[in-house]
Amino acid sequence: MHFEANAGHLGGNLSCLDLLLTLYHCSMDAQDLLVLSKGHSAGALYTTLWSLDLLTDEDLQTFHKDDTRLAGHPPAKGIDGVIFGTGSLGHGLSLSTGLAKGLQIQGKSDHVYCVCSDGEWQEGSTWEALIFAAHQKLNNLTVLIDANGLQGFGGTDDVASMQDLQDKIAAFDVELDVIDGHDHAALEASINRPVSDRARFIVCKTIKGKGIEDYEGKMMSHYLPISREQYDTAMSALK
Amino acid sequence: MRNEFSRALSALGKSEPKTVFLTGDLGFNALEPVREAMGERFINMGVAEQNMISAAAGMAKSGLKPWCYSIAPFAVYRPFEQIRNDVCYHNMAVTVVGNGGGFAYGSMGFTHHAIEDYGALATLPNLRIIVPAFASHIPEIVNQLSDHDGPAYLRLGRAVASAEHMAPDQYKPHNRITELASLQVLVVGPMAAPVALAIQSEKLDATVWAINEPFAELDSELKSLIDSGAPVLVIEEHVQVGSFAANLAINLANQEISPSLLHSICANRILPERSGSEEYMRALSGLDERSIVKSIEKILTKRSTTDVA
Repeated sequence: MHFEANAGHLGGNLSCLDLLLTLYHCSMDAQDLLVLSKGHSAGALYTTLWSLDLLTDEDLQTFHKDDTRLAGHPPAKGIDGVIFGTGSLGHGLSLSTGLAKGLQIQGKSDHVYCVCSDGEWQEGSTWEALIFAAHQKLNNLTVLIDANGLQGFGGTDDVASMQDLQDKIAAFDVELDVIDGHDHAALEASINRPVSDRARFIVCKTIKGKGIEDYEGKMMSHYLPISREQYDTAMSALK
Repeated sequence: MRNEFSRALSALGKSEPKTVFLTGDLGFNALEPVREAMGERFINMGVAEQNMISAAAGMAKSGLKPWCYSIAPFAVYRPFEQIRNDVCYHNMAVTVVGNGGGFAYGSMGFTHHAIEDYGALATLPNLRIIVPAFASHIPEIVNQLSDHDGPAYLRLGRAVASAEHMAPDQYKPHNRITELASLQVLVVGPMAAPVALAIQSEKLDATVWAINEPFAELDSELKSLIDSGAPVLVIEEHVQVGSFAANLAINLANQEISPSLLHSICANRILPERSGSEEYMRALSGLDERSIVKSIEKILTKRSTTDVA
């Protein structure tokens, strides 16, 4: 899909594909809601929705092309299962806290899931959302952080180290878990724990570009489309 | 207008269970009745406007009808991207309330002025923008917004109690508030009534229109007057770029309506090193009543000289 469209952002898609698939196939109930705060991983979301038959093969082929519903970042409308258009980092967590609070006020039991990136936590609004989630005890909110250690123009520790994001989040009155974001069993176990009285944050340690040799753990996997060579190598590795 | 607003929201909160009120830590000594009326549906979101707006969009998605409140500059400038992406582009039923638009918080200094707000917001899709002229219209406006299934911005200002009698019984986006005369004076928001009083006091040949919704379709009577050659003066507490006047000019041009005269008085003198009351700040831009009367007299004199010629 990415190769056909010559589209970038593949690295960040591959780091969160496992957790998205686990969420949708093993954790979320029909009425639960997901906000992809790291909107640039739309490709991973579309692929996940395709795996649930919410998008067709033909839909995926239109990715990034003219007149598509499948833009490089999720659209505000038009795709079943995509409730918010995102793409500017730092919005999704706030959207999710609002959803969760609104559901609580109305006594509804739907759960809200939010997938964000580690670099995204450099946006001040994420901390506004964290404070709110903790203070309001949004126990119907689960936030998964795709922590692949890389961002737009460097490693997260090189650009704006938080000397561990997870420690900083843990200082708030929320639940925190840290797991291998590519281990399906660990993902399922962490996400499916019984609900507590607090918002839940799960730091998922991941590898950007996971699954494509020569792409894994590299910053260029954020932006650059894969080359013909990389594509062929990856496809034969899959076979 | 804050007290009227507080009363209207308290009533709405009691009658409409889906209403939620979010404040960015403001409203002391004004919004307590709203808090009492709404209980857990009144949420102080703290000093966090970006989260307030996005969370409101989330709440709207969940089925509630959120109102977000702060002073105008804080309600608009800091969370502009959130208003754009999360509220407007999603066409969410969220009303953003900015108290003290224009120079209402004059002596507080430039960070507390809002003279670029509705122009910047008017670039966004789906947003209904209301700058009420009269406090007595607030209940009607609140009711309309409560039924409005989309985004809105409500810029509240300082109403003039002695001029409230000029409020027409029926609220309209563009309300003519005086008898018909030669010059059409279009005033955005709460300055309309004091301008009308000044014009009446000086017995000037001018009609005053309260422009409550600067980006609504032009009132048909007003459009017809302009099309028939009536000269127009626009007055607003907003900079020229993004103003009602600028947008009006383009719209008229696109409809091939050439006004015989179109002048505008906008907020245009900003002195970062000086501050003062609302009156002082308005006067710097020629938006005080005395300057406006002079501007009108000048236009009328010039017109009568031209007519004679």
